[in-house]
Amino acid sequence: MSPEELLSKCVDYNHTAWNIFIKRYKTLITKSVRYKLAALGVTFSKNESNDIVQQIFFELWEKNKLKKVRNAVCLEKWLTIVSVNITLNYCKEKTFRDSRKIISFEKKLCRDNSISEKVLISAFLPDEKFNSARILESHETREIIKREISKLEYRQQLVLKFNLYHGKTQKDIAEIMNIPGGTVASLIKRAKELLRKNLNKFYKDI
Amino acid sequence: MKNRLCPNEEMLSEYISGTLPAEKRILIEKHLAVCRSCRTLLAETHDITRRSASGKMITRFSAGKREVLWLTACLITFSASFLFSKFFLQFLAVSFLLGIKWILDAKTTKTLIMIHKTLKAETKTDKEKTFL
Repeated sequence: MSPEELLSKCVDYNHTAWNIFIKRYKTLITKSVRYKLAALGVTFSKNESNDIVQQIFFELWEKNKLKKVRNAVCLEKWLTIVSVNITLNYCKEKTFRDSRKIISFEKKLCRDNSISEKVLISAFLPDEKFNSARILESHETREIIKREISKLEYRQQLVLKFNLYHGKTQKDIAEIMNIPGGTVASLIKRAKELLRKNLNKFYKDI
Repeated sequence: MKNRLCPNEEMLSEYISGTLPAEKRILIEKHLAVCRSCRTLLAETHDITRRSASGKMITRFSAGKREVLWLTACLITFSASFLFSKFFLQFLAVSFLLGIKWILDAKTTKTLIMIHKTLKAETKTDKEKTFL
């Protein structure tokens, strides 16, 4: 069954089509969920990640979300985006639920009152060496670079941010933006040259 | 953080698939230049789809099955070297290479290499400590 046919039958709530759809895209959705969980640094059991996968299929079915897909060519990428977003929302909800269970600093640590001391706030503060002037200085430099990047033309900005902030190679950026690799290379080169020039000017002015 | 100005999932999927019209592409690119969450979403989508595309090839054979595959290929080429005496050396060389591949691919060898590397690193740090 072609993706277009499958999509239209799934939109009409055809059970056989849905069975095929689940079989065909379960691996992709599971991979997307696991990828996002790993990216968030969250450790979930296999059962919990399977729960999220089920929730994704349930939402697709219940809200008939597949109706929104206009082009079957984009189906896989659309499913990946939806899965990543649902996983993110699930994690946010879960952390919100768990955050309400945080123990207060004033609260006694044990039920039997054997440890009645208050938890020292200093224990929760970062180590002194992490508060050094060097960190502040690098933070300031980062802010300056960020500000200078935002002054660039939007395409140069986008390419540079994909490259510097997301660690994407020229080939990756070309695939994401659907433009030739040569264009990406020249955009990055020009953006870096401009950035260097602007930063030099900025530091000379200081 | 996603906000109401962010393009919807359909637009983003069409953008990354290259099916969006030029004027909409410009709008999305302008937004992507300033929106970190949408950029991250696209970067992740690209990563996942690329991995699943290459993963199909890799996961076709699991690690255990691959080991057996190398061993079988090695044995076949080894026996072929006797069957086709004209190409004895060639077949033998291929079976030798496949044998090495089988040994290196084996889990036990990988573990042994890992242990050897950690032991080497430990002795190196010990030596540095004694110098200090």
